[in-house]
Amino acid sequence: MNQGPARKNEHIYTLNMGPQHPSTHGVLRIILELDGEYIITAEPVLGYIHRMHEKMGENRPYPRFIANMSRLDYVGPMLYNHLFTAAVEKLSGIEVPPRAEHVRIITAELSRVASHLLWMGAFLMDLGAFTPILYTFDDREAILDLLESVCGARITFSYFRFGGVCNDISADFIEGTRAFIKLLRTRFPMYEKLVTKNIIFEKRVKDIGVITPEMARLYGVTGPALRASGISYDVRKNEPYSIYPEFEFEIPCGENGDCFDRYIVRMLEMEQSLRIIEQALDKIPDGPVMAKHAPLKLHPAPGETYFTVESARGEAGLLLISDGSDTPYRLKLRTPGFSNLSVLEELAKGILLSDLVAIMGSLDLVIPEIDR
Amino acid sequence: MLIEDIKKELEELKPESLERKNYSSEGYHWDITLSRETLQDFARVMNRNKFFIEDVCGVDLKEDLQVLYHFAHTGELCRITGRIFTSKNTPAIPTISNIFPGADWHERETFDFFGICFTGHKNLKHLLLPEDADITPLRKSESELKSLDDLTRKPSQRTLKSKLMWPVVFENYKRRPPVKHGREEKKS
Repeated sequence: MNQGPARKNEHIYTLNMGPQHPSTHGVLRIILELDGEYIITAEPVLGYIHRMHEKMGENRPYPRFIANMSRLDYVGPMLYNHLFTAAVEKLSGIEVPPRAEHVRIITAELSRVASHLLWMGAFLMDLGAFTPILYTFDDREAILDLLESVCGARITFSYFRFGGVCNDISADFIEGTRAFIKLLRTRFPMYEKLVTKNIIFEKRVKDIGVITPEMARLYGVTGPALRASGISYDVRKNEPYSIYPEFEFEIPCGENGDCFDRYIVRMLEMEQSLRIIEQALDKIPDGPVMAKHAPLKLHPAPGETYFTVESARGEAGLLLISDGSDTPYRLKLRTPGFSNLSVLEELAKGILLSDLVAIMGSLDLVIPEIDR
Repeated sequence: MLIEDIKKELEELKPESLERKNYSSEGYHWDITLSRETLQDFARVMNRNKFFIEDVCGVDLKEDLQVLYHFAHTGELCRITGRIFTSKNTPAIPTISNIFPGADWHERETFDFFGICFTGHKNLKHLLLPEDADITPLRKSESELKSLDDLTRKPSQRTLKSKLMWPVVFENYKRRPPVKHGREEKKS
């Protein structure tokens, strides 16, 4: 039979994964070149929900852009609220009262826990485990109820203002948060029993999608994906903002940088977030939640500032250039998901198609944040 | 200290300007203005000192286009901003994606929004915009453009100029009446 060069590559074919594939968590398309079930190249195609938030930032006054921040990352929106308000405060020199700083940290960390819970459920469902998502969404629901009681929204929060937050927290909220922390701590052992020690789960994620520290650095990978590789880099510790230096917490790190370590790091991070919330609740001072001299219409003096926070997915940055008017001259968003996803092309070489799903899940992709 | 050590290496690049910035207000430590010839060397210096790339960002100015490179360090607190200027009519800058593969997507994004061509880039096509887009959305119209001098803070300038205050008292959201969905029933 003729086995010439023309026939040699005939089992190599191209497959479109997405934009509507459930494991891409949104509308991400990946063009795969496959040899049987093995991936030769994977090329992510972005931009299906690109909304040009940076341009929107340029043509509306500063306070009106707060609402956009929660549309960027709808899974952990309080953290992005914090990014924008704190950056503008830094640019224009507004001081925040201590009670407001505490409230910010409590709500932001609750948002981080909610984000990790949602990620955990979705990640495990990608791998074929349907049960955990029912439990994690149950826990996340409690957080959404708490945050709804304080700001009225459940997903797209616009709670932070320049100089504080728009609404004070009540005694009910404090009590409810304490009860929730207690509840979630009883859940962790169950998750460990149900998921972490599950042999099928282990086989699916161990030694899959290893990101080496050097690779992470060259691609600008941050957040839990970087910490899983063993590099202890967390903006809350390395470049402290707000009142994070006042709290005791640890930065959990992995060793191998595989999907399993990324899972473990996030699980441990939730416990650390709970610790921060507990401490903040313990020493929350009385007083106003809004600075007295916070202006309604902002005209920051010309200048440039770069500000970063630790979002649920990594280092989120914001470059603001002001020209002295009430709108920014340039607003640049550095979203962690964008850099984290760019490493996928290299990770996907030579792996099985089913492992790609595990890798994408473990990177915690939130497409609105990546596409902006 | 990395912040002091890096100074010598940055000076060796013979940049057009090298400024120490106030971290507490600007958010970065060094501001270096580069030329087309020194950009690649700058990226190599960053790579040698184990910096990671944060982003590549374009800015449209009155005279020309500006591209900013942000680098930070995972070990020590040190952020460096590299600046490079290019003409508006034929904007072209050498790529650094051969040194930092992470710059690949950031450069493609800058190409999307400003139409800046990164020479030597292996796959310079639209990333966030549609494949056939021929617009440069973040370029400003003539009347909106400002020069770099208008965008830098003068020492005499106050950070804020405004007198309007936020209303101090906010309604408790819990007291709102529940929203009725659908059509209201008519009372007969």
